[in-house]
Amino acid sequence: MIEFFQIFFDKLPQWWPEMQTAAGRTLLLTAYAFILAIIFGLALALAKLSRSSMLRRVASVYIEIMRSIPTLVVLFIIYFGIVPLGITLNALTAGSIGLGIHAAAYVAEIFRSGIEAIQSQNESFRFSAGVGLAWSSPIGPLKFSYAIPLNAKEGDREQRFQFQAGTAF
Amino acid sequence: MFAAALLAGAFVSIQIMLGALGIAIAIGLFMALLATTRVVPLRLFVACYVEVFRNVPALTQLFIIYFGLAQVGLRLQPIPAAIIGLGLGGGALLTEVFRAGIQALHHGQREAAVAVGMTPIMAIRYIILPQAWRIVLPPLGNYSISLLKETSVASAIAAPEIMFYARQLVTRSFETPVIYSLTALLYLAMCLPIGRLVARLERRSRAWQ
Amino acid sequence: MIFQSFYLWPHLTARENVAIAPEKVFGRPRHAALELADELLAKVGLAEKRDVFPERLSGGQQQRVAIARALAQEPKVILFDEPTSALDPELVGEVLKVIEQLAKEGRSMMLVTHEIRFAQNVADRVIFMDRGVIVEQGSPAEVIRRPSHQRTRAFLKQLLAES
Repeated sequence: MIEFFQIFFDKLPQWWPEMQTAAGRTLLLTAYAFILAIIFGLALALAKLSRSSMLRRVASVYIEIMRSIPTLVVLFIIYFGIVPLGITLNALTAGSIGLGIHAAAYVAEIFRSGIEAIQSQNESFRFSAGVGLAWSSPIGPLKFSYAIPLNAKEGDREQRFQFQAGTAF
Repeated sequence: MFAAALLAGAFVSIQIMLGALGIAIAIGLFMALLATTRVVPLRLFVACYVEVFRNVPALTQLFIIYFGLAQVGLRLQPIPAAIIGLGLGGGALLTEVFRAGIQALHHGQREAAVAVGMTPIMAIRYIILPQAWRIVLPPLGNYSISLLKETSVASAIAAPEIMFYARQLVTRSFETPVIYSLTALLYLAMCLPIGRLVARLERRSRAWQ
Repeated sequence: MIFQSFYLWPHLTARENVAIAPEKVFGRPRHAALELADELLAKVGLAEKRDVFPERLSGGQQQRVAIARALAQEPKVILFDEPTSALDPELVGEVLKVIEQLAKEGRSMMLVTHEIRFAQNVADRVIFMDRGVIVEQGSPAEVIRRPSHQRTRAFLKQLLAES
């Protein structure tokens, strides 16, 4: 038993740099996967709450499947299984993607219950998703935005496209 | 056919899950009761246990138990090692679940039990546990499903469960996507029904409240 | 002991709430304990509610079940901690009636209460306390009708002015 501590303190200076690098990679992996999980999870949650029944179904199916498969299997499929398709990923990338899309399913449920809790208290809550392009042109800042509403109700006025010249202060 | 090997692995996966579940429930219940006493050293002990076993990944815990203990002379077979390892980790999680269930009950009920003459053990047996049980069932069900998926890490210590066979088959036949897809399907087939059951239990426990 | 918030056990029916102590703590056989429970529930006027769960009972009914539960222990003294403070004003009366009946039967009881008129009519001895210290004690006629301390007088004036 005492040898355990002897060996530990003996080898520690030798192992420490590697352990540091490894810890750094773990944190990096966590960060990447987390960001992916949050973005994708939010998208899934909004899809599950949207008007389109097809979007809802796709999101639900994805979440159910991801929650029933072990993380390890997802990672293996992403890293090893895509090889026949011709794509080779390095381990960090595969790990980030695998963990990210797996965690997204759980994150989606968290976002969904949060949004539903707010919605139930405030019936007039609306949200939409879209893309925008901002261009600092010679004549000033221009913005082009396109968005679709995700939970518009009867009697709402919709506007999908917006062009903006200049900025708000 | 790959399916035969994978199914054989499924049997072992379920074995590991049930074993670990039993250990986790026993540890969780015991620790939760300790955590609700007024003895500070006991509460400290529980807090340390929970922090340690929740913050170390399951894979690391399994490695320490399987490889680490072998170094100091205790050589365990893969399946028992997996059961103990996952059970210890699960015990930490369930401690928090059971503790929340017990503390959800208003302390007044314990006072009334004392006023009527019950010993602490009687109060736990007749008043606290019957009620906490209903609160605890949904998270317990969810944990069971997570546990079944967690058994996949036991493949790293050569426990002959699903993932282990999957990896073996892949090195032998190189049919990577097919094998892993079958693995995924197998886990799906096992977890979805349990998930449905848990959802139904959740609905029924809420109806009682 | 009777508590302000009753503290009945929600997973047991009224009958079981009363019977569980005689059975488990005092070791009576189950049917005897249940019979005793029925008797006591009838005594507090809740015979027909024996198989009802506490959440379906009104506050006054719950408190009466709590009294039956305490009586099941054949206590020498019963303690009441503000038994009616958490009740709807309309339900206070039914609980006080039961306590009064127990007093007439000669039960030794100690009540903490703000029901001054009740204390005046039913108590043998009254104690007025302020911040954990006994300020005044004596018979109801002395303490309530003719208080000698300033603090007692101020308190009674306040309370009787409200009702």
